[in-house]
Amino acid sequence: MTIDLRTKLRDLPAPEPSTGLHERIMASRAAGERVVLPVGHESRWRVTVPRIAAAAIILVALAAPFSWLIDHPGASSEGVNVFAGSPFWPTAAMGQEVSAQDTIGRARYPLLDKAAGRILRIGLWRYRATMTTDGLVTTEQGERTFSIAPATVHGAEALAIVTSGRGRYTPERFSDSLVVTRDSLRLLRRTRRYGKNPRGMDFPGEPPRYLSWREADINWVGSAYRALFQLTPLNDSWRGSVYVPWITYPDRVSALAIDLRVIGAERITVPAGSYDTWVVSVRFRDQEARVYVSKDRGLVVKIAMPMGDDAVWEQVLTSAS
Amino acid sequence: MDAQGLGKLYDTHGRELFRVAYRLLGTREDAEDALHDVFVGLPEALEHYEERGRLDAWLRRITVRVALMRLRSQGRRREGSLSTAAHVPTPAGLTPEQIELQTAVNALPAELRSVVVLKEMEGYSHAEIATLLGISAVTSRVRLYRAMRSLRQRLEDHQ
Repeated sequence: MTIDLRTKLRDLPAPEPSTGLHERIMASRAAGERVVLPVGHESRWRVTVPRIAAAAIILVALAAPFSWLIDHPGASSEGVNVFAGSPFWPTAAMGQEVSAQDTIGRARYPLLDKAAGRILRIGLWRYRATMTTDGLVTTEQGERTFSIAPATVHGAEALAIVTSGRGRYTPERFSDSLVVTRDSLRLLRRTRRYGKNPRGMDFPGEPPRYLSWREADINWVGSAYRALFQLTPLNDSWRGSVYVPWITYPDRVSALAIDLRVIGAERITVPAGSYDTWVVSVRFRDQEARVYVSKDRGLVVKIAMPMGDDAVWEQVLTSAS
Repeated sequence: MDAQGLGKLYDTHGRELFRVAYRLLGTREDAEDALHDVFVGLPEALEHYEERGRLDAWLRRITVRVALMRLRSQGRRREGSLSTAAHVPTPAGLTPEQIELQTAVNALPAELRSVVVLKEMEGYSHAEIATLLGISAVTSRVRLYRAMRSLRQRLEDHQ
């Protein structure tokens, strides 16, 4: 029976592609559409690098090129845009355009531009990070603090948006700070501290850089995306994509497509309380995280990212003030 | 590569690659979308072809990866519609027995269907499947065993 079944499977016929497919392909090429194909490195990376270490690799990869830029003799900021700790900002990410050379994946949804709102809430929010398996906490991953506080920069009203904490793979406290003007959310300064050496970058007034989805951090440590959810009114049909920088090799940065979409609504209970939330799917490469955003204030209440068959890396809100 | 060269590649390999995509994705529409992406991206991807193996095998691997990426992105939507997977249209010209078998294959969970298609229908080894799917060869064997057992059970229940 088994042998017979195998033969039957092998002999199952498949249909022919429709006659219009060839023309459709040629028309897409002629229209300038391009697709970056997985030609051999992706699955090998997935097999050899445990997912749980991926976040740490992202953090190190983002920090290392920034250090190179600061320390390398002859390094110049001319022609180099630095944000999220990633130099060599790829043209595709900056322009939100697809490039065959440096773009991984294609955006599925219309590209997100600037944040919709202008009002950020002053506050302090604490999160507990864990690894859970079958709903049980198996590993504590440290605590995170997200805060938005008033600041003054050169006499102008500003806001300091800070994520800090200590994690399993970052035993020394880390912090990631953005300073923006209070009225327009224009970027003034960014400071990152991983380990002992803080790195800061001031943003010149021209061209103006604004807090936006286009420049959101790609990992869950960054400050930008938590602030951006406060600024972005969600609904059950909200969706959008961005290209963000992704370190592929020590001296190479590609643009990575991130697709965000509200996939439902859920009332969830976390240590800080119960919240009615929008559930946002955030997809990048072949991974998906779920971000639970409170409906009333755009507060990130929970983040869940599957790390294997049954393990989930989570952050949950433990207090809000 | 110019349009003529791409057209020639499509004429030579398109049908076989479509079959691979169709077997993994289960619908003509999804398979055509996957094949569209493969050939639209092919001229640039060929810069990475090192000519160490056969071109058709290299193209097939890329098509499998594209189809698997599409399958993963559809994975959570399929979870809610597995019960309707058996109603996915099957190609015309199949015998009733083939229709039943195709329906049974389409009804398998995506992670089991992928292994059945790659091992039993496309002839990949468990080691190759492990690389393509990002799993171990042992997991590939276990999934194949479960898939074949599920297929046998389903076919016996319908007799």
